[in-house]
Amino acid sequence: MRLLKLVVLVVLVLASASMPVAARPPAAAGPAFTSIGPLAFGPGGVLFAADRQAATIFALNLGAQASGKTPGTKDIAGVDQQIASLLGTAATDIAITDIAVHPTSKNTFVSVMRGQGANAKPALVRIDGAGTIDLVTLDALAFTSVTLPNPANVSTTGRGGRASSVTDLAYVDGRLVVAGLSNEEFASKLWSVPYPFAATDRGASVEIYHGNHAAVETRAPVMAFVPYGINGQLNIVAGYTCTPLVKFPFSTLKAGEKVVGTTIAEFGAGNQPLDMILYKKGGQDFILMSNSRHGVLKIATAPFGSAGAITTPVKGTGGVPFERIATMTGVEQLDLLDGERSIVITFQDGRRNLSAVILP
Amino acid sequence: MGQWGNGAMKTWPHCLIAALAILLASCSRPPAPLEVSFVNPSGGAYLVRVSGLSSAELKALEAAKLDDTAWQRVLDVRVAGAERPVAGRYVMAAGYLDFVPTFPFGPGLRFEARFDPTGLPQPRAAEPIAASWTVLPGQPRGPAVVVSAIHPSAGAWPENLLRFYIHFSAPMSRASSVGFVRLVDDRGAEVKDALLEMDVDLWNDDRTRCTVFFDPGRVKRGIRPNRELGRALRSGRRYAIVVDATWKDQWGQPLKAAFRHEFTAGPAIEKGISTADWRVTPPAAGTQAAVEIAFAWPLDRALAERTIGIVGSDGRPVAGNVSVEPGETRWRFVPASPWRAGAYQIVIDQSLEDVSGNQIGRAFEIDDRDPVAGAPRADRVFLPLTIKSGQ
Repeated sequence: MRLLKLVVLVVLVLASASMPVAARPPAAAGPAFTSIGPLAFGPGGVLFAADRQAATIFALNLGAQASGKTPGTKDIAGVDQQIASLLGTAATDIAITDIAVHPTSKNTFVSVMRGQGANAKPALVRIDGAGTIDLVTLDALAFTSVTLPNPANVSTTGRGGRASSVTDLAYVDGRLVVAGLSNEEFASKLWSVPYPFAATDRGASVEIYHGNHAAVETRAPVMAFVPYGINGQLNIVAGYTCTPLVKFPFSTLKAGEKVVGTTIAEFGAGNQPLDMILYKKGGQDFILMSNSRHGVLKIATAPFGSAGAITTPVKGTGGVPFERIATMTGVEQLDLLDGERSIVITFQDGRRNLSAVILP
Repeated sequence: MGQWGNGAMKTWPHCLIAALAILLASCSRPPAPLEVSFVNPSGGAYLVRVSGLSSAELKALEAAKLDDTAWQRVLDVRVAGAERPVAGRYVMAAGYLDFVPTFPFGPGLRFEARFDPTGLPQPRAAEPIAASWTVLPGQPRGPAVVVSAIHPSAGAWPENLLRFYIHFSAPMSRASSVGFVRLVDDRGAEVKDALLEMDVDLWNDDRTRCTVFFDPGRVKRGIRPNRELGRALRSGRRYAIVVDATWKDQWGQPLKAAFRHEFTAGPAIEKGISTADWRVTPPAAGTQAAVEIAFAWPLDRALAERTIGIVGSDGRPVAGNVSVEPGETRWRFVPASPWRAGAYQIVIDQSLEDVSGNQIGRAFEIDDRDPVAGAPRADRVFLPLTIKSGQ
């Protein structure tokens, strides 16, 4: 019997030396991302992440990975180079697709595509207050997901090249609201679905229109939006691809409704919105909007309730006043860090820098 | 299990002796020379391997449950000169310590691995050892990529054109069209602020087709960019879309050549598509001849390919092959089997648009005094198609 125990012991010792043992044990299968784009935090720190290629929104429970060792987010010069190094590649081989600041840890999460063509892989990294960049282990995450509504092909042999990119998403009053842009039809649908996701509710799509000033309305894809209460009513304040800033009541986002946004400001050519954040300063609410070419705009929300719709052409700047923040240039990504600062990724002199910037 | 057990019992003494011999040998063996190298076991992905560690040292590493920082003190792998190590996991297998990168080592880069024996849970008094390795750049698997087509393919584009498609002969990189595609006028000067400069992914899934939008703020009447700058295209003038050769393919190589598509801007199309204006040519029963639809003006090619089909009297789709002819004014459908005499229907999804965004019965720009024009409607439109025998 003693001999048997000894043999078992020896076999076990040998087995432990020859079997692969992962220092980080493999976990159950996590979300199967094929691509990763826009991010948004929701209730309880759930992270919504859009997967364009799979036409899916994942709701990630970050668990222990919600926070690095140090709260906050430290500035990182050349953040694209630093993330690329972590991913074992060159800065030119990655694309930063979005950032989102965790509501409690204040760490910044960055969605990244690594590689090119069919070999491109998604990655999610976390940057903490000490400047540590960690790769989030997606395999270890609990998650739920919902598929975006995509039109079925009518043709039996259609080339199938249609794809829809999520331009922005946010959790609003019990629903996840998603805006997108198709690479075929001029789609302007804003889609919303209750969260937590339910298999029985596929959500509601509404067609978003913009009232021009020539007695015409046009479909108007939303590039960025924030939920905001105006005169006691929850509204969506949105920036269109064609540049106006509009508002419409959240209650109108019901299946089959036609929603025409009320124009409250006009920004002009080259001001396609990239990101919008809402913040408070000196007791007043403001929206900070980064845009494609002309830097960052600061818009006071106080006039939103009383501002009449812009329904006739106005010379020059129209609608609620806005201020161009000359000190914020080259902003590609924007999110709110805390009560006083935003987090931005700027592109300057051939590299990208992540930094906290005092809210203007 | 039973058989294994019996077999094992029979060979017990031999097994025991062999196992004990290995165990004793490894315990008493002096530490072997350490070596660190980049290897690809079995021809798979490359990893960093440390050999020469004793089984006791490997076991201690396994038991130590090191955090990332401690692991990196033992075995650090990074792009040469980088401030941060590469993400990966540490595996003890078959007498080795392996570092397996989360992503394959990037092509064209030099990587450095440094193993420090003093960082082991049972530190070994030895100098750190290092290795470096340069990954060969990825080799293009085909000839340089060319622009194979542009749609609309016609030589005239309406001045309120909303978008166009650039097709490539092979998959491209992830880069958007921003900075690589320009509109130039008949003097060769770039028309500024013409195209939507958004870094939104508008590729198809295999990255052989990129959609480029004209700035809708200039196309739509009455919006500030339109009031300030007007439409980018002016009817009657000549223009060209120029695709820069520096746009890279999936292997990082530039296009074989720049591409240029010249066209004349025509009048804006500001009315809804009327299917009553289409000419449908039905084939004869018993043949596999094409159903042809001639449009009144060019439609969006991608949507015409995808959103028009044929259904039988039972409502089920008829299998066949769709093609849209050059100029995007004619749609053809060749059935997989011969037509039968009877009633069919042409089915059209309401997302069909012409090149200016006009839909069936609904112009892109809707008169907002017309309560019907923009009202919600059915998803699909059906047109009758009767196949007769003996035609």
